[in-house]
Amino acid sequence: MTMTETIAPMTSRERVLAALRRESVDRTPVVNPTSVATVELMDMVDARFPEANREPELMARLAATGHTELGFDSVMPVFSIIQESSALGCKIQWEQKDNWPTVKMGEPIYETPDDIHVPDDLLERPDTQCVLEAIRILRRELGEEVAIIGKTMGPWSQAYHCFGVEPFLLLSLDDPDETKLILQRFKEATIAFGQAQFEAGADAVTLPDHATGDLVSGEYYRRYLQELHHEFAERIPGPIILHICGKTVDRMDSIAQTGMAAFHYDSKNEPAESMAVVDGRISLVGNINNPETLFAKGPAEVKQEVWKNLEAGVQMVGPECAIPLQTPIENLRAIPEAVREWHAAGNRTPTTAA
Amino acid sequence: MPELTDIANEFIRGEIEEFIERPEERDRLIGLFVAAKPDQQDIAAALVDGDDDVVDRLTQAALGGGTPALEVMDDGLIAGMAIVGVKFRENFIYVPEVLACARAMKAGMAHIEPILSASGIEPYGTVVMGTVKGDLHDIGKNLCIMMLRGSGFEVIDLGVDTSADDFIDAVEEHKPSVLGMSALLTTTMPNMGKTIDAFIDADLRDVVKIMVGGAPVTQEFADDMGADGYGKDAMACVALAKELIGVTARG
Amino acid sequence: MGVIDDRWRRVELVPMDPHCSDISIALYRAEEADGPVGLVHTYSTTSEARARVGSLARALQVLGGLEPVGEQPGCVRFVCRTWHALAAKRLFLEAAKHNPVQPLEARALDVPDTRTAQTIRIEPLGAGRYAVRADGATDEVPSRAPAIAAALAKLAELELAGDEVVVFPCGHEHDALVALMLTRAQNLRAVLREEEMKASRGVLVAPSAQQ
Repeated sequence: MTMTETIAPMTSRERVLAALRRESVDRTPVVNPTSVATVELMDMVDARFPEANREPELMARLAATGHTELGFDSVMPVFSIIQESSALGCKIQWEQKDNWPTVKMGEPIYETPDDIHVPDDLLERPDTQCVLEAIRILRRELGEEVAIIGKTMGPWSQAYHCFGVEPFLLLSLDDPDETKLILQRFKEATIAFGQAQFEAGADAVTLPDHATGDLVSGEYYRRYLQELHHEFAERIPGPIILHICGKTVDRMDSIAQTGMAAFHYDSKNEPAESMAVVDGRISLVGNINNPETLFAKGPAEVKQEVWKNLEAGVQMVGPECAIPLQTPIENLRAIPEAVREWHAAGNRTPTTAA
Repeated sequence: MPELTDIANEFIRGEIEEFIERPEERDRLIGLFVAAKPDQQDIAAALVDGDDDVVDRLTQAALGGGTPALEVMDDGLIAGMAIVGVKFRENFIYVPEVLACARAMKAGMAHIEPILSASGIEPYGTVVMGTVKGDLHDIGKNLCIMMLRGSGFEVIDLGVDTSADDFIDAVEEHKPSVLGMSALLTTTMPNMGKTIDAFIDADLRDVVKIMVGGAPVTQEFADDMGADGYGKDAMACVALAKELIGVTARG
Repeated sequence: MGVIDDRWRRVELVPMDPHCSDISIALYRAEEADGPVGLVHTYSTTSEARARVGSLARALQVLGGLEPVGEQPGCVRFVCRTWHALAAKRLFLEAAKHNPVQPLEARALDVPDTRTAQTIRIEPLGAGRYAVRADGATDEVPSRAPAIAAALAKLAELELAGDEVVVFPCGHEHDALVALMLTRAQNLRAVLREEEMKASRGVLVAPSAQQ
């Protein structure tokens, strides 16, 4: 316990890195493992979707607002979940400024594991190169002050994108061996992209892998993904923030054993219960509700959820997932304000300074 | 009083014993399967097991052996799906397993549907069915649809995530007697009320009877939001649909 | 552009303004000493955007009967010095649809009904009370006035006094606002459709939840 230790004021980056290691911090960092882009921020810096997902200058400019405008301790330039899928050849619906680019999963590009082809130049494709260049720009512009978080999609999510959700889920039941082969083939893309982002200057990467609680059981996670996630923790050279949506308390114990630095958990899980399950083996980041709180309510409600996380001792606070593009800026600013207010009132978590 | 041990198929006995906990559901399913012929029980077992090849083969065999199509569907496929529905609701199985069972159901229905359509019976009426906005679950809805079709209704399936506007469009286009809405999440249940309000606002509330169902839905909730009826499961849904259009039992 | 500080809460947003290069533009609200105040604001910094704030604020005044406040461009308020929350959102969305190159004028208090041969007329009764009349109702085609009154009440959060009279809780006249709501009241379903479509834009779903 570090409650009596005095900590000198930290930079945002130091704070985030320490929280990822569950070390002492001067105050709880506000972190976005997922996008905090909004249409209003896009206008503020003239970097709109879809171009901000495809051009590194725009990507970096929009991502920077997370720190410069919203006051978060991190910036995360990979707004969408389709960069690698696009590089692999999936058909993308790029949409407009007010909507997310998505993979056209109704037109899957693969049917069998043999179809999978991770090209040698995966990292040179425009939509992966965009991410790497945006990270380099952000490191140049923001220096060592702010934590830069990248993103590399897990093999389960990539399989959804490339095979289609239903076909892949049926395969997972019909042919576990073939399913594992598919995941093995995609994992190399996950690792390569993650490594490259650290080399470009990222401090951590988010790894979304959508074996979500409402679709697949905890047993599935253990059967198909736990070992792979452990391998990622060993082979990707930097802190990984695993992201799985939905009710995940039933698999948090397994997740806590993967060796990953943090788990980004969503509002369907209670902070205190989640902290109890992971029991100090992995940091938690989350879990402010998006559709009801951040999007539809106000700063007072945001504060309540922030404080609930702080009271539970959650190491990093942030939205539960990529926020709706129409989210009001005042609600996002309310997150770091609520953290400051909580600490100013004399409150501490087990890892924050006295 | 039918007992579990009266069910011929061992797999089905095991499924009911292990997974069906609510007494009224247990009793109903035991009664159902005791009354079903062993061939139909075997179809149900294969469906619960997600084995589409076996369901396919056994369905063909039953029909070829002279069993009426409705009996194969009710006692084999739908009875099996009733067990699947409970297991899914209680989180004993998840979507991959349900997809496999649905695939098996489809394999059996591929032989049954042509027979039912060719039977030339005048449908009772048209029912439009959909899962409400924001809700992507369709198992319950699909069960109801199969039962309704099997019982002699024409059914228009709007799928999942159906907006109030889509429900209204469908009612205007197909002029059904009944509209059925399902929701499996407490967070999406309010969209049932919003849809009913939208019908009122559009001056269309009186043109259709509205029934609701789904795991979190209750009679009280249905009454509060102004639905005409509430069906607690697929069989109740059929009985309700008949009641709402004033139909007495046919044959 | 414009000053947005902690006082302001966003009330309604147009994410892509078709009349101004798809900028996002919003209506904010704050409590001032003499009552609630609205502010049209955009984070876009182009001169076109600055002009748009002014023209949209002007549209709120003409179409909704709001009055300008102080010197700050885009600052408006209801003349009754209260805040009609739902009506403000609806007014903002309608005002944003108006093409600035077209003449700007308040809507009429009577319109042909879209569903029958009746003419719907709004009769101001004073003190914020408005009677909804339907000329041309017959025995075969009953008056649409009650349906329109109910729709107006819903759109603008008004009270209903009987079947055909709507009342602004503030007790103040709002002729322009009622006239604007009248056309939308004739087809609430279209309003619902717009709201549903707007709400579904910009929400990222997991691959398994994608349609």
